[in-house]
Amino acid sequence: MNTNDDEFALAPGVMPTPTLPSISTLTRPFWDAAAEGRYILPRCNACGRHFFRPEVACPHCFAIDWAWVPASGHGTLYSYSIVHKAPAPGFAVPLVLAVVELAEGPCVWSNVVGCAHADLRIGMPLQVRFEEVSRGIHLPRFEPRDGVWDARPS
Amino acid sequence: MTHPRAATIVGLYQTRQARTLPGRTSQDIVIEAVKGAIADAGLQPRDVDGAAIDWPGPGGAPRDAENWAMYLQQPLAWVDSHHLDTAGVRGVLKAAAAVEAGLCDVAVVGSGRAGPFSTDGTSPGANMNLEFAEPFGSFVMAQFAVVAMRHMHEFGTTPEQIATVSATIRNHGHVNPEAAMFGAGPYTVADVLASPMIASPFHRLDCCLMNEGGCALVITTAERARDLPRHPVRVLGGGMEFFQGNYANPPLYRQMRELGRKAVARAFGRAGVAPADIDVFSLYDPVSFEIIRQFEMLGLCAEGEGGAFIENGRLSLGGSCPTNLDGGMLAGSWTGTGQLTLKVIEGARQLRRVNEHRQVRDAELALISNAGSGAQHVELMILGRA
Repeated sequence: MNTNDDEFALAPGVMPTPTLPSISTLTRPFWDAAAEGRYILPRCNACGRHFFRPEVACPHCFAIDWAWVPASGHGTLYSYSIVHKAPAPGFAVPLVLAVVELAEGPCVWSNVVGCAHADLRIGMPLQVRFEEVSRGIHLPRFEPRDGVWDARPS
Repeated sequence: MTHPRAATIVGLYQTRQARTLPGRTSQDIVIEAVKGAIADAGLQPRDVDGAAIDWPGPGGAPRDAENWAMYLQQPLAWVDSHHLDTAGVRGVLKAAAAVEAGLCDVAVVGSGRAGPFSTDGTSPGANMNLEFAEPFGSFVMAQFAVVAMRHMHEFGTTPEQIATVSATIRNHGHVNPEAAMFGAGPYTVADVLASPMIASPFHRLDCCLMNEGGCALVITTAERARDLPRHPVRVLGGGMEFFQGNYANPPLYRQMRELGRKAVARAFGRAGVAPADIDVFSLYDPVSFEIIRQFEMLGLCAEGEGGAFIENGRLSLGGSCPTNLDGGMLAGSWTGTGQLTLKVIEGARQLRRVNEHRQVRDAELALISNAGSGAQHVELMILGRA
């Protein structure tokens, strides 16, 4: 899929992605909520645990009964790589490919934006920032969580 | 005593491995590899009754190993068509199980590839329709990178240690005429660190090749192997571990630190030997760091000490753990699936003791591994000189 939408322009400072999510009925609620600026996660009604990515049954307990619930959008940086070789034409490199450990438990792929590469630290607090990368497609990227990390004694 | 049906590798063949093989197709490369392996075993095509061989096409039914019955000139007793079952440790272990169970008597495992991977230069693992990975720029090297970054964070593993693996294995390829990068070195640690960054901490020279070539091998029973010309190589034990589907969810070091340990216990338990007994290592090296992690996985050093373990020539011919003496995937070959099989072929050649300048003296036991932490699965196998 390509962002061949002549009428759509990225907002200033927003990193492009040429590879858009291939959305299914399973995952559509996530992207619909993202377009409204809401970060939601699947949570199992049987065991009470959050998981990601969405699956037909809970990966913790195999139960089919789960629901989308609002999430904090907070997490910490579990690991990352600064990608210098564009994985496909259209990516702007270098970019930060990140593994974010969400406050609710799951670890997800994302990007860290709004942070100098030299300031990246494993464990740093992050918060979600939705960025519209194609018409109606809002990617959940993460930025340093204001006032939490910088306030720590050095 | 060796069981009369004990799985035994009796035929090996690899085509030329090179960045490109002009005029070749994947299908004719696989045909060359299959014919070559059967001839090396001293057999005829009609002796083969089991096929885990890729069928790239054109011709036949797409990707279907049953097509090989046409060339092998008899109905086949056993086939496997999945692209990860027609190569490597996984393919050989399944073929070995089929032979030992009596489902077939002579099995061939093989694959090959020529021609461009894609038309737009897209990286492997960047076009797999992974909804929650690829929009963020995920690809295979970067998935391995986040495991290495966490290892460096927790244990202080250094870029120089990672680059030492690259320089060592690439120098092995530099002096192997069959390696795609033959004559391209020699390399120093500084050369690796000076090469362009791909996905931190990996520089270009930390990452495996993408090239063309094919290979195949023949497996039969110990009893049948006695009548064949090559020195037999026994499949002594194997183990596999699949943590989750590839590349969809991030590989977390806190989970990957355990990856492969059960497979190690299973493989060595079956073989009745210990990791310290291994004479030569043929380890999967999609990136240099993965070698460090696999020595920790094997328990040959403690977790976190792999970076120091590989220093001081440990991985070289003459070191205590000679590793990827053919140049591995960093300098030898990576063709999509063929490199999985080349790991087995290099181990088996060491046990035949035919590797001349890179031969480990008196080699009795070889360890073969495939896949790794970024891919979230590991397959490994112990081979023994009969």
